[in-house]
Amino acid sequence: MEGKVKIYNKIVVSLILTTFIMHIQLNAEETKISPEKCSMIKAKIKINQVYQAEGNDEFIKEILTDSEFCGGLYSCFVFKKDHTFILKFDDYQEEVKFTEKGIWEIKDGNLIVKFQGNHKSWSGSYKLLEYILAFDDKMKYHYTITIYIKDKTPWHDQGLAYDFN
Amino acid sequence: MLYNTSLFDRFDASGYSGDYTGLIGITGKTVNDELAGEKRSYYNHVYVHADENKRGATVESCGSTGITKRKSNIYTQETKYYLELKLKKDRKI
Repeated sequence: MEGKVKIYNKIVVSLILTTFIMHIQLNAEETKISPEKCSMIKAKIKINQVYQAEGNDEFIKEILTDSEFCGGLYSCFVFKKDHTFILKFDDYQEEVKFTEKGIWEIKDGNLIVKFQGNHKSWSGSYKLLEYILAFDDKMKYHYTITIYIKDKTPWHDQGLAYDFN
Repeated sequence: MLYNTSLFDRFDASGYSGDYTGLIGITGKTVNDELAGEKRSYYNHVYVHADENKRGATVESCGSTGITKRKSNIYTQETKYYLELKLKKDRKI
């Protein structure tokens, strides 16, 4: 009996450790906005002023690089410096959850994404519209930078947003 | 809600330019229906404007996260209609 309890305990501990390691690995792929980038955004963008995406490729690229931006309901993109991205897709209505990888670029006011996995058909050039910095000192994160996507996206979100202080 | 003209005034999102405070935004979604071999569109989310500006704060019920307040409206591009409750003038702020 005692032996069975020991085996059971070992299984439970193994499961907990496995879950913990998986959690660490999953989070290791995430990239948050650095404090330096937060300061840069606050210095270069006036609160509640609307900026056109067109003509600001380099600035948008700078904001997105090494950062994680989420859409409204379904998507979170991690845009890496080496121009690869990770899309975490969570369609709560249809209970489909997956992670996709690909290559990204900002060119002529467009977000260009090339998916490498099961969603290659999602690859394309999506026109960016404008971006805005919002502020509310009553909320946990005081700032939100939002970049709007003009074109319909197959991942069903037409914005990229990030909350920060 | 969209067709209840006694309770709400309805505005096309693309043509609206007034005060957004208290408006209910209704978003649309289009998916590829592979079985039917065609695209299918439907309304899939509602939220409330908490700000007079189009890109201002919103409040919504968002899946498992419950009531969510956002500082800026991330749904401006997906919004098809705005609904405004028909209130007496003395009920408006």
